Order: sequence, then C-alpha cells, then structure tokens
Amino acid sequence: MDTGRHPAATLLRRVGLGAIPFVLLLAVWHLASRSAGTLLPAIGEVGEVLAHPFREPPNLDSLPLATSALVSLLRVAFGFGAALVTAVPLGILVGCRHTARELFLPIVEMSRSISPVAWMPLTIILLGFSSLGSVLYGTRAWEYGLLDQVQLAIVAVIWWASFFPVFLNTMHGVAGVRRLFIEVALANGARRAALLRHVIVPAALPAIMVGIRLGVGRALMVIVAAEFFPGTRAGLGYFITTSHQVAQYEYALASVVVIGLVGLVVNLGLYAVESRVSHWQAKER
Amino acid sequence: MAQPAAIAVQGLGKVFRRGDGLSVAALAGLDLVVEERAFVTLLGPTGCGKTTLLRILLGLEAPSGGSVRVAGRVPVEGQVPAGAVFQQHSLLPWRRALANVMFPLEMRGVRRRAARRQALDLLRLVGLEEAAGAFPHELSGGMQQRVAIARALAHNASILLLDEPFGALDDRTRRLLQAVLLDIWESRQLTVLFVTHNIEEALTLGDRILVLGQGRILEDHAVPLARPRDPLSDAFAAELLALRRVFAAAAEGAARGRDRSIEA
Ligand SMILES: Nc1ncnc2c1ncn2[C@@H]1O[C@H](COP(=O)(O)OP(=O)(O)OP(=O)(O)O)[C@@H](O)[C@H]1O
Ligand SMILES: [Mg+2]
Repeated sequence: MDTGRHPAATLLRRVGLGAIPFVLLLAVWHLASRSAGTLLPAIGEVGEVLAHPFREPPNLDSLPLATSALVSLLRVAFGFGAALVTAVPLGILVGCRHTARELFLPIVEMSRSISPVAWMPLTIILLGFSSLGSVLYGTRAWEYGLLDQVQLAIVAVIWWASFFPVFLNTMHGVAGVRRLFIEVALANGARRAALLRHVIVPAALPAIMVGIRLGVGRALMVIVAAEFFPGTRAGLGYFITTSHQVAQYEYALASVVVIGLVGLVVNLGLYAVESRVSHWQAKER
Repeated sequence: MAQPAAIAVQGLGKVFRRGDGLSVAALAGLDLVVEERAFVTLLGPTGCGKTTLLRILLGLEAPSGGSVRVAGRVPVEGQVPAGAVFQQHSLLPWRRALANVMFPLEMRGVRRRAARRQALDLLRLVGLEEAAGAFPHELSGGMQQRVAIARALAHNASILLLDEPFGALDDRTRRLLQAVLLDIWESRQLTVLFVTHNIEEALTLGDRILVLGQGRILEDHAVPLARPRDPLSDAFAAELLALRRVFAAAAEGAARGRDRSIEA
C-alpha cells in the first residue's frame, strides 16, 4: 500500500515491525524473572502451561486453560450478541429522530459511565446462578456443560459493557448521514423502508463497525473482572483467581497471555472488516 | 396546443427562514411552462434560486405558495416522474458506478439481472462502460457526473432535471458531455430543464433560455439557432452577445431588487 513492493514483502515487513515490541517485552520479562527473590514466573514456565492447554491444572480446582478460554469466549459471545441485536436497532431508531435523541441522551450519558462490574452483585441477586443451560434445559442443564457455564448474570454484565459503544456509535452514525444521500435516494424513487436499507444503514455502517470494535474490546476487558465474582466455577477470570490463591502465578500469567492473544486476533479481524466496509469513507472527496 | 406541459409552475414562491432570524425570498411569483420534448436552459447568477426551483420540482422542498405540476402531478418526495442530476457530486460513495446506476431500477423493483443489463447499457451510452466496477472516489469529477447522468436516465422518466451538471469541468470535457446529453435528449425524446450560470452553455443547449432573477423569470428568450450549433459561427457569436446584454441587464435589475427580497 505504502510501497510499490510485492504484497507478500509488505506483509512480512508489517509483521516484522509489529513483532519488535513483543521481543522487547519478552526480553524485559526474562531479565525480571531472573532477578533474585522475584515471584514472576519464568517465560519457560508460562510457556509450559500454554503448550498444554488441555491439561487439567494440578492443585487448581479449575478446568483446563483451553476450556476456560472457551467458557469466557462463550460468555462474551452471548453478552456481546445481545448487545448487538439491541443496540443497533435502538441506535438506528434514536438516530433517526431528533426528539428521541434528546429524550434518551441524559439517561444514556448517566448509564454509560457506570462500570459494568458495579452491577455484578445486583445481577447475581436478580438472576441467581441461572445459566443459558438452565434456562434452555432446566434440571438437565448439567448435561450441557458449557452452556451451563454461561450464567445470565455475567451475560447481562457483558451486555452492559458492550451496549453503549455500539448504541452511541450507531446513533451518531445514523444522525450524521448526509442529507444529500437521502435526497438523492428520494429523487431516485426510494420509499421509507428502502431509504433505511439502502442509504441510512450503508452510510452509517462505518460508524456502526467502530462501535462494534469498541464494544467487543470492552466485553473482553470486563469478562475477566466479572469472573472474579462468586458464582462462576470456570473461565479465564476464575482461572486467574484460583491460581493466585495457590500462588501458581504461571497459570495466572498464561491466562493473561491467552486473553491478550484473543484480543489481538479479534481486533485484527475487526479492523479488516472495518476497512472493507469503510474504504469509501476515508477516500471520499 | 393540445399537449399538456411537462412542467407547469404558477406563482411559485419560496421563503426560507434562516437561522439568524432573517427571511429570504428565494422565489417570488415564478411562472414557468416547459413543453414536452423541449430543451430549456435556466440561466441566472449565483443565489438566484435555481437550485431551489429544481428541489421544489423534485418534491424535496415544499413551496411557500403557488402551484407546481410535473408531468401533470404535484411533486411528492420519493415519487417524482423526473430524473435528476444534482449540483454536487451525488453518487452514493459505498456503491460502485454500476450499482449507482442500478439504484433507481432497484427502487422500481426491476429484477437484478435486467437492472444490471440496463445499467450497463446506460453506462455505455455515456461512454463509461469500463468504469462500471469503480467506486465514485476512484473516478474523476467528469466521470462521476457522467455516471450521475446515467443514473438519472435509469429513472426512465421522460423529464430530466439537471443542476449545473458540468459546472466544474474543463471546456473540452464539458463540450463532450454537452454533445452526449443532446444526443440522449434527441434519441430518447426527453424534456430537459438544464440549470447553468454559463451563458455560452445555455446557448449551446437550449431551445429556450430563461433568465432567472429576483426569484422569478426575467427573460424568456427563444434561441433562433439551428442544430447542431457551431460555437465558432458568426450567428452564434452575435446571439451570444445579445444574450450577454439581456443577462447583464437582468442581473443589474436583480441587484437593485435584492434589498426588497430580504426582510426581517
Ligand atoms: N435551506 C435554506 N435555508 C435558508 N436559505 C436558503 C436555503 N436554501 C437556499 N437558501 C437561499 O435561497 C437563495 C437561493 O438559493 P439557491 O441554492 O436556489 O441558489 P442557486 O441559484 O442555485 O445558486 P448557485 O448558482 O450558487 O447554485 C439563496 O439566497 C440561499 O441563501
Ligand atoms: Mg444552485
């Protein structure tokens, strides 16, 4: 893109550049873990945990690392999915109407500064330990192990975490659609429903994608904290608390690495989608 | 004259209330009749209400007074029987050129395959077949304007409204597109209302030239030149000079009248 070289060469260069900070980080970690009296586990110990993601951790009352990550991701997926299907339609609705924006602005501005985790005690009281599994399959929930780990209380917290970025970006995106586009569509025979589908949504899509990326980011941030609370017996957050309790810090660090890697993959993927749907916006003259 | 007029406007007024509290009379008592298959150019200095008139004809703006008929009907937003080319770049930036031309066809419910074929034909008509797959930002200004014309034609209306479509183009491209437009007008037997502030362009294209000022038609000038017109001929030059005088007088009158059209 910025050079006339072969795309593979460009990719190699970008990956190479991006790898430098990782190497530095590992070097610092290595030195720090070798200093006397440190509790910081060595790279090799953490690597050992990462290399066997399906091994039951000894001394830990927890699922293997990979299963824990899967449980966390499932919770994120359901919480974020719920945010997506609520925030996008609401954002479009509110974005289209000036009065609706004025109606909802104060409560949204108040709500979005409340940390999602602050709801945790309340959601546990309200929703108890009921899970997706227990809702879908009742007393046979335990047969559906993973779904039984998707507690509604946590899903609700993740929903709260991701709702506002998606909602606000959708709303602003829709409110900011250029009047010209709408008039062009009207002059070309578009009726109301067509306007929404063929002008408002595509024109607001870049903003909606930004909201989605921020929303997923917040969900990944919050999931670990949400899993520190009682009522969960699985997940990366739970994995971290239990390993701290028995001072096996290599397990805690390994799950931190996993979260980071998940974030890296998800963000790169979302950036790729974003540049696909937004390419016209940056270059518009 | 048994034929109904393509566009009939009577006593049209439009007052804008601006944010600073002033009221601007953009149009005041405008009368206009465009017969079917006529090519009428609308000439006027900047800010005289040309775009406002077209927006009202398209149903995008409600008149403050008077009556408006386009193809015999009151214009309603979203169902106007006229294709339009806007003054600004108006292609939908997230659609490729072909998809932009397909837009009015999709809105009419034309099947995808048929819409594709028709849109390609229209792009060919404006000489842009090879740009079908390009996004608007990948096209030059003149190419974008040609796509916009193809889209207006896809509307398949017998009336075409164009708002300074070639305003930002170089002379050569402008002449090229003028010829393309005249071709289409003739072959498709369209009625065209063409807005410009370029006197030579008005003369090259129009059967009639309307000079707009003070929110109404100041002059209705029938062009005595035969087609095709040669801008280098003596007759054209003489006509151009006469029109310049008319236009200058009208502009001066408009300047004197402007104080009256703005009131607190
Ligand atoms: N939405 C609006 N609100 C307030 N005033 C407006 C609005 N639209 C147009 N006007 C005013 O109406 C007058 C006519 O504007 P219009 O856009 O029709 O001019 P125009 O003849 O198309 O000019 P140009 O050649 O520069 O395009 C101007 O004085 C303008 O300030
Ligand atoms: Mg204008």
